[in-house]
Amino acid sequence: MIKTKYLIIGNSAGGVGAAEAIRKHDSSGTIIIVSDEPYPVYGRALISKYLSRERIFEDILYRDQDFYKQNGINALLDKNVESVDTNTRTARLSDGETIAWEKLLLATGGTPIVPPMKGADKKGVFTFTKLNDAKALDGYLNNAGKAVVIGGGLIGLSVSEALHKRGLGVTIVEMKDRILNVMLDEQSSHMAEDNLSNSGVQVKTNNTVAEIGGGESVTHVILSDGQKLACDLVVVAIGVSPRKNIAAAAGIEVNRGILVNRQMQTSMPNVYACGDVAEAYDFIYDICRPVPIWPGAYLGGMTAGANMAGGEAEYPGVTAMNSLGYFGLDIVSAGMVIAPDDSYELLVDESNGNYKKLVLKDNYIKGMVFVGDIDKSGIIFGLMKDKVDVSQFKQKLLTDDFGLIHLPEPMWRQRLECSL
Amino acid sequence: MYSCLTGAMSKSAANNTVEYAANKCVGCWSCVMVCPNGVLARDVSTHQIAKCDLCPGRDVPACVANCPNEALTLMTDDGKIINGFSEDMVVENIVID
Repeated sequence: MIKTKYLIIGNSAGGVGAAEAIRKHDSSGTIIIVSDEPYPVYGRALISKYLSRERIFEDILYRDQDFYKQNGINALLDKNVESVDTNTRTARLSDGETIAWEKLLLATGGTPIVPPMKGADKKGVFTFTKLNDAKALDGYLNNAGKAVVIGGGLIGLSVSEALHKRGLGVTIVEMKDRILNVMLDEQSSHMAEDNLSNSGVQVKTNNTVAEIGGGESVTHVILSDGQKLACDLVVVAIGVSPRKNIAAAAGIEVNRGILVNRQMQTSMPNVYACGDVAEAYDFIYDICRPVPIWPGAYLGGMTAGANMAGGEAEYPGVTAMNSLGYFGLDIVSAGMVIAPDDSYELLVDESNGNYKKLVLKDNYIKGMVFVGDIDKSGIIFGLMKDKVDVSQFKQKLLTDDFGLIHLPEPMWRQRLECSL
Repeated sequence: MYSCLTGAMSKSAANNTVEYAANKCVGCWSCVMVCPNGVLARDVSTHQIAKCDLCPGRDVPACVANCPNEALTLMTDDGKIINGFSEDMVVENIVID
């Protein structure tokens, strides 16, 4: 049996954020990170850059190669945790090893959703959330000319861009009536879709793949409206679901993800969770819900790590927030991008081919979308996050020259002198 | 800093500055989205972030040293003025984040 003070399951933003926070409070307590992937921590969003061959492996590393050594972390890579026991405070690995821990962090991430589909077991069907997925796809591209990507969300667009850059013809099949429908409003969705079409990517909305056809390998898909599309490979990019099975089996309270409080503590003492597997605080909706984004995982990990090591930290929360630049179009969205009812106020600016929209409730910003010129989105995001009443400078928010100077002096002074 | 997807932006424990390794930046603009002071600029020619690095190697950043109106001041988080004129003349601060 191995003994450790801190056991972290998961070696991505959450796990690494936690380890870094632990080390700020406890320079010597033993830390073990277990990961089912064989790699040191890498930027998960960068697997598309790896696939497109814009970045080699060394250039997508999130921390230096010697990060684990420098921080005294024992990284057990390419290992699966089979179960955890919160009574005996142990974890069992699939290779038979047992690890005894004092504090546990579950940062197990998400699993790609693959709906039941005829032909989904054929050669040439991929998901796209890990480096090994990018490597598998990369190894399949030699004789491939056409790809079908199921899902017009963030992962779907990122893999589409990479495949497009590798010279493949790409068709995105989206079930809803518009792409990026979770994070964008109608107008910005259509701008993104037009941009895809202009770049040579086909988009088929209101459609799904009913069947993946071929022999041993994929040769075509049949869509729900009966269309048949020839293709050499299919990427299923519908979304991810929290990978909570270990937690659920251990009797830790779960809903869609693992339930955590603002300290990132689960229902069990000494057990914490963060990242895509957790249901953590969303500061716009003022509830806990899964928000699978990298910055949230890192912040949650930092919060959990500090508390695990005896500090006192509260998770500030994130909200659905994304910055994307696929096919050359910069888009930022955060919070409530569509007003739920007409008690909300909309501010819109469409000058110079840009699109900027703010959703306000009683002079507080609740949501934002920027397409094209995104440079001032950070200031707006800050006002939204800090729940600032914008009534005094509301008319300035979307002007080209908007800056901190338009805020009342005490406010800009305070923001400049005490930034996070 | 927390929003960086690539590890290009990191906080130096040694001098409490946010350090930026341009070679790791892929231009995802996540930091632009969350910077409350709007100081991160998109460099469209390199498709990477341009960030004030406080002029490493110089005692005082070039803008502070050369501002003709002496309007710029370099301050630490706790309000300590490292260089510049009296506080009531401060128009725009460069804060070590």
